Amino acid sequence: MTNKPSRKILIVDDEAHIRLLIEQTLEDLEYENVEILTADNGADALNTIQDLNPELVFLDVMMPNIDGYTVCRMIRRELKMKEVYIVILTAKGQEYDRRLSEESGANKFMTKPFNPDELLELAKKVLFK
Amino acid sequence: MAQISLKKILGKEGGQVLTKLFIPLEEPIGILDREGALLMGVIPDPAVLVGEKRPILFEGKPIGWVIGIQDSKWIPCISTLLEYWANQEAEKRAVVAEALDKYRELNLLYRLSEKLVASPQPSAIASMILNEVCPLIKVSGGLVILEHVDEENRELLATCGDADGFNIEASGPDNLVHRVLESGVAEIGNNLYGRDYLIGRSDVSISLLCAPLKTEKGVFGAIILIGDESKVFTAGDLKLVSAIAMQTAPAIEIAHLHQMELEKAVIKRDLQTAYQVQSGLLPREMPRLDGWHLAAYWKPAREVGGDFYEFIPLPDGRFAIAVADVSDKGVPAALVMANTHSVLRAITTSLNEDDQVTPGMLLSRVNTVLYDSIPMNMFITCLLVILDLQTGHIWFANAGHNLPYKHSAEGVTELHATGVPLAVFPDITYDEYETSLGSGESLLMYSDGLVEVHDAQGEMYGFNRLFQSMGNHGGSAPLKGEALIQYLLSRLDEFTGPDWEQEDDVTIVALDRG
Repeated sequence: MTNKPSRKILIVDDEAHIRLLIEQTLEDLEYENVEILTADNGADALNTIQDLNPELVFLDVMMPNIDGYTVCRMIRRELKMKEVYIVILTAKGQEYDRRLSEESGANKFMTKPFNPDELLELAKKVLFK
Repeated sequence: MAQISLKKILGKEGGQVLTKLFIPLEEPIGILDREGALLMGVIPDPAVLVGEKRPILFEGKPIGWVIGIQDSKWIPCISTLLEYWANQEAEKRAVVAEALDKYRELNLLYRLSEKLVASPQPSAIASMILNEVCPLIKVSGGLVILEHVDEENRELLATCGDADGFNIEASGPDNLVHRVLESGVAEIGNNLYGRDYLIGRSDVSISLLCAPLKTEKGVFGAIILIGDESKVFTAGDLKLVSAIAMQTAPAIEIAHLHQMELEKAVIKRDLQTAYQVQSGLLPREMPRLDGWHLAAYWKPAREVGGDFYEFIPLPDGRFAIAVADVSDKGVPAALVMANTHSVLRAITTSLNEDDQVTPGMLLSRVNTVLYDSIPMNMFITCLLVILDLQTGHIWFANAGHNLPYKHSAEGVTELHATGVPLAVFPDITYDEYETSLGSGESLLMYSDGLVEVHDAQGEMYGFNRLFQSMGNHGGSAPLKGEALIQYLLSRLDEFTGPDWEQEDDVTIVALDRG
């Protein structure tokens, strides 16, 4: 076992099956001392981010109450967390959505259905760069 | 099967349920992982209580333990509940894994579509397909082959992984690849004899998946994936690769046609250059000879040809005319033509004023040099004429060429002269013949492209028609020089009709005495 503090990934999606898909995609990272956290709404996501300070967040857009773009903006502006790498992961794929993602302060825009291999590679790159 | 972790099960809702369950039990119960580390609950103190430990089994193997007091009725219940959750978790993971595979396949098809647009080379498209598909289906190697029906062979377009030694030419009804190319229907074959597909590998078994590349015109190739003996291709694999083959086949075919067009364009450009080079070997302009007139026509059947004519002033003041025709057409003939022309030029320019030059001697010398340098199956016919410009006397020798025609007041006569074509036998001597041209008389020399011409019904133009055309043009005075050549060509056009494609190189040289 390693003694290094664990790195954390937060998966935020209101759909349980999407959370499962992403969790299972990333599960090999758990052997690298990476902790995978989940949240099914924007408010819980903000609390988790504030409390546990994950390095990487996969953030859905269409969620009840607080949408992903708003969560992203709040992470950057209210929580003033510039370091956390935020991936907007959405079923919306128009250029307009891509622009909203950029404006909200996200680092990357990915669409569903995502490419599992690309998602895992991105996570490795962000966590172990 | 995915690894099942008791810690993960307890970390989710399972842990909350058990925590609530443990409260009213009023007895110590603990749950341990496979290695015996406590995950939740408590371990009964062995100094106080006799303990009992029951495994939590998944697929017959323990993934953890439930520990409590001896004869506790709760231990088997909790163990059974955890085993149920473990099986549920495994099923869920299998469903998620399958969904992720579908995600991968969908993304693969999307990526292929994107990349196809940017891949103009068939081999690049084929490599891209293999590089995407092989890792996804987890095979040891893959190939994309093209079948050239007209050439009766198969072309290896791209490979990935361990595809060395795969025999792409193997055929027969029992060969899976052959069957797919014949039927156009994708197939999988698990646990096949390696010796039937791999060169020099008799002791292994392999699995194959083969999907045809086809368009509405038919099957023109295949994607072949190779798995080792542990690989079992599924119907899902077959459907995916078939879909990819269907999606990419038109792109590969279009790229293949495009590449062939590019290659044709390069060849066409090279041939145009070759035509310029070859026509540059011919006399640039007609020699001006006092009291004589020369006219010539030369047109290869293809971009380049094997005919040529040459005018050579001799050191003794006489004048030589050569008309030659290489067997065969196109580039091979053109190369031999250039060689023959060079040899003739070299021999005639090395002559001295004192040399007793005769046409037979020149042909013999040319033959000796060419015999060693021309391919066995090729030869050159050549008529060599030496003209005394003052007297009009003509000496000529013939290396298997068409006989020349003399046009005089008596009419048209064929000048008989025979001899073996050049480069057929070594050390040949040529018989020499003589005639003379008086004022107003002319000599016509030509290649067989002027007579061995067929009309739409397959009838040959022939020597008789040429002979008659020369003597009977309908005018009052005999035609000469360029006018004669144009007339002969127009008669040829009338015979063949407008859609005629020139069959052979045509060369005509007309010599007129003023």
